[in-house]
Amino acid sequence: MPEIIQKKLKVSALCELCHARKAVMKRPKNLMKLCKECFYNVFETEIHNTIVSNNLFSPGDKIAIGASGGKDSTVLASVLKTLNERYNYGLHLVLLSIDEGIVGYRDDSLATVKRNQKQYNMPLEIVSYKDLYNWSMDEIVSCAGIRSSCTYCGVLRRQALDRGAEKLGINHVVTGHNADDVAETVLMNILRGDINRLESSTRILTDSDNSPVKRSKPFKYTYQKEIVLYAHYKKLDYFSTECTYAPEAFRGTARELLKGLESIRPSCIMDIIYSGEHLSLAPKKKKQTVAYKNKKRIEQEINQDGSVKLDTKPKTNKCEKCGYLSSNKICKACVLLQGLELNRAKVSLDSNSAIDGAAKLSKTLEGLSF
Amino acid sequence: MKQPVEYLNNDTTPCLKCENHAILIARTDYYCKDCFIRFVRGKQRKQMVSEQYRAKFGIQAEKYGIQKVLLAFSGGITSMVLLDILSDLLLEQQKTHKGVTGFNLIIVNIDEFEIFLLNKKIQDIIPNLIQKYNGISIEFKVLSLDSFINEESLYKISLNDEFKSFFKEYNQDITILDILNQTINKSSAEDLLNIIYKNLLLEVAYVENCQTIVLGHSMTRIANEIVALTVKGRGSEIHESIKDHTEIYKNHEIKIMYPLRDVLYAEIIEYGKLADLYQFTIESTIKKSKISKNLTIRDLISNYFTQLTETGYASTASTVVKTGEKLGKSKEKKLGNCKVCNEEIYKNPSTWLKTITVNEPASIETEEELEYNKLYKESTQEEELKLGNPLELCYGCIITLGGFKQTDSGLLWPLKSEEKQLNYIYENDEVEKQHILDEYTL
Ligand code: SF4
Ligand SMILES: [Zn+2]
Ligand SMILES: [Zn+2]
Ligand SMILES: [Zn+2]
Ligand SMILES: [Zn+2]
Repeated sequence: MPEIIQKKLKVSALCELCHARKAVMKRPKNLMKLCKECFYNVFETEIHNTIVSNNLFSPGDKIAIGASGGKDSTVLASVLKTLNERYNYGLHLVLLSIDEGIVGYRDDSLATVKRNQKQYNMPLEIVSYKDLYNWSMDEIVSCAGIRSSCTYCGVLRRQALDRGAEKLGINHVVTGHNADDVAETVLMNILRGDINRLESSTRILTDSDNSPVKRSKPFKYTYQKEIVLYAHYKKLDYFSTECTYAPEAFRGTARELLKGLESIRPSCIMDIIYSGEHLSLAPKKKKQTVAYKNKKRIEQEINQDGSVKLDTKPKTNKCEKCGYLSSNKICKACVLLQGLELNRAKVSLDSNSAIDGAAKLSKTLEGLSF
Repeated sequence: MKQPVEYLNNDTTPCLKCENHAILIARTDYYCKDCFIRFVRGKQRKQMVSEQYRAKFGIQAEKYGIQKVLLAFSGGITSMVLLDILSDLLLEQQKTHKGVTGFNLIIVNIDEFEIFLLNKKIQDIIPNLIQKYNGISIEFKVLSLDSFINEESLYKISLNDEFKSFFKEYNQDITILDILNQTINKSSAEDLLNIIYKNLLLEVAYVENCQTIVLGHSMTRIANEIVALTVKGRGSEIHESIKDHTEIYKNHEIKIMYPLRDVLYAEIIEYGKLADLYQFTIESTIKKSKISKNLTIRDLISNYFTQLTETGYASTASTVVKTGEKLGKSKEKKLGNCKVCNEEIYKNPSTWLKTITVNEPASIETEEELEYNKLYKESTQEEELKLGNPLELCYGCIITLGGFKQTDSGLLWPLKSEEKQLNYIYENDEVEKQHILDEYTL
């Protein structure tokens, strides 16, 4: 850097951490002025700390990175590769992409993932909705309308990722969900009264009975703006177009609120996550009636099929239609697809407002699991 | 878009409760003026049905003793409406029970004239209010905000790079306004004021032997509080602070209630208009900024709710309140209590923050970098910042503390706050006189 030698820097222009290099950026998380090297250092170390303190990986693990070609998952692949080498995690990293079938969005972003495959030298597996379900997202939207697109897409993606991972013999998928996403979800759950997800929304690792594959979010505490800056400074190759089906309106309002809050208090994303990690539901008050009800139900079950089911947790069974793990006779994806088949001709998923539609749909889905 | 309260124009639809013509629609029901006022009053009565607040005789009266209810009174429309409703209740009790009421009302105002540049002094409206509610005896007290600080017990609290907090003694004459002016963040000031108000109200209730504190919070305001607590990293406090609950203060049980928790802010405003209460209210002359950067967390959340109502998501406030009411104590292990706000601490806040906010530099590599680093070290006079002794703070207070310039000021705060000298700016001794007259004149 010859220019620096020519022009001497003022001490006040130095990075606030190393005090040795020129500060080039303000860190979004705390507005500290940093040099590039220190930014890389804090950014990567924080992710490393998150991985270590939550015991996300063990040596020899095969990990699938849910790769969309967008900035989050591209940076995730890059950082995991870096950390895996630096700290000898001993991980086998694989890129796993879902092709939802959204023309103008996913076809282009998949091209990015294919370049990433070469850049990071990782195996790549692509699973498509069309192959798996015989429906592309474009077809689903034209049939069910744009309003609940993300609800459909979410359920289908979950299963598609599982199937892709299983095919690769992998039982752990990491996704690029960042701190902003987590904070936004905490706010959403409160604003929408989504009691069922209140406690689980901040979990970094989800390990559910309904899925053979665990999920984790190494970026749980990583700010979206910092991901953008990291990708920019490291000149990472990512695809930045948003999905054609914009997220639902109500989530949009929560996102706006969060943006405003972040502008007056940059820590608020972390603050909301800290809050979220402490939210828990009060124990149900009428204990007796619940116990009584349970008892009655167990008795009924014995009468009906002769078998005794004592545990309140349902045994994991297989979906009768597709064979996917499910606590119900038919899995969520198959229920949605069945509905779509019925509606293929007449589009009747009209709802009063976006929130109603989405809430109704997720209620139906919740009813399915115990 | 449908508003929570809508006025009717020359409509001949009858009122839901009586023969009169309805003047407005609230929650899909038609009301005339009187019935709407009764409807809102009914919401308060439902919250305070307990025997404790009814006129009592004989054994019951003995059991409960004299019940004293402290009304936290800012002079804004919500506390004004609650005052109106409670006075009406007391008048009714007096009438039906030959002068006996269920409780005595003490109205406490914490003086905000200076910090919020109010348009009127509260002392000036009190005589009008006493006149308006002359049928009942009310005690009015205006408390100085500076009652919260006690010169001897002031400490300077600061934060280091690892989010650990420290305190050391600090002796200097200072006012709350001075302290708040040292924040570089308005939300930090807002957060500290909350702590101060809560503490002062409890102290007055304790000194005055009040068993209950009532606050005018509407449903909308409680919803705002729930979101605000979440945003401030105080999620573990929600379950307690937004429910009607009992605080233990200096070994005394003091009940905190929100009797208007079922009333929407829009309904409170209409009540205020219909009952002609706006002539008494006090407002801040500080204009709320249009730029969101200059607003506080609470301002932003209020705006969010207002805008939701305008776009048709009117039920959000009630959804949020219901969600908040379903919350319970955190399942994390309790580590202690915060020395500033006294709330419970769960996950160690400094460890939590340190893990995800690294403050270690990347190594210095080149000669040139080393040169700069030397230059820096020479320029800073190596003044050893002695921060003092470690202090246990909750996450919310650590973040609030972060809103203060650490190097020169830090936060000045009373830590041993058992000894409070309540300094009243105004007390209506008329009430006292009336008591004596009643008792001793023949
Ligand atoms: S925005 Fe919605 S529809 Fe588009 S990819 Fe994401 S989940 Fe699917
Ligand atoms: Zn640096
Ligand atoms: Zn299935
Ligand atoms: Zn009427
Ligand atoms: Zn605290």
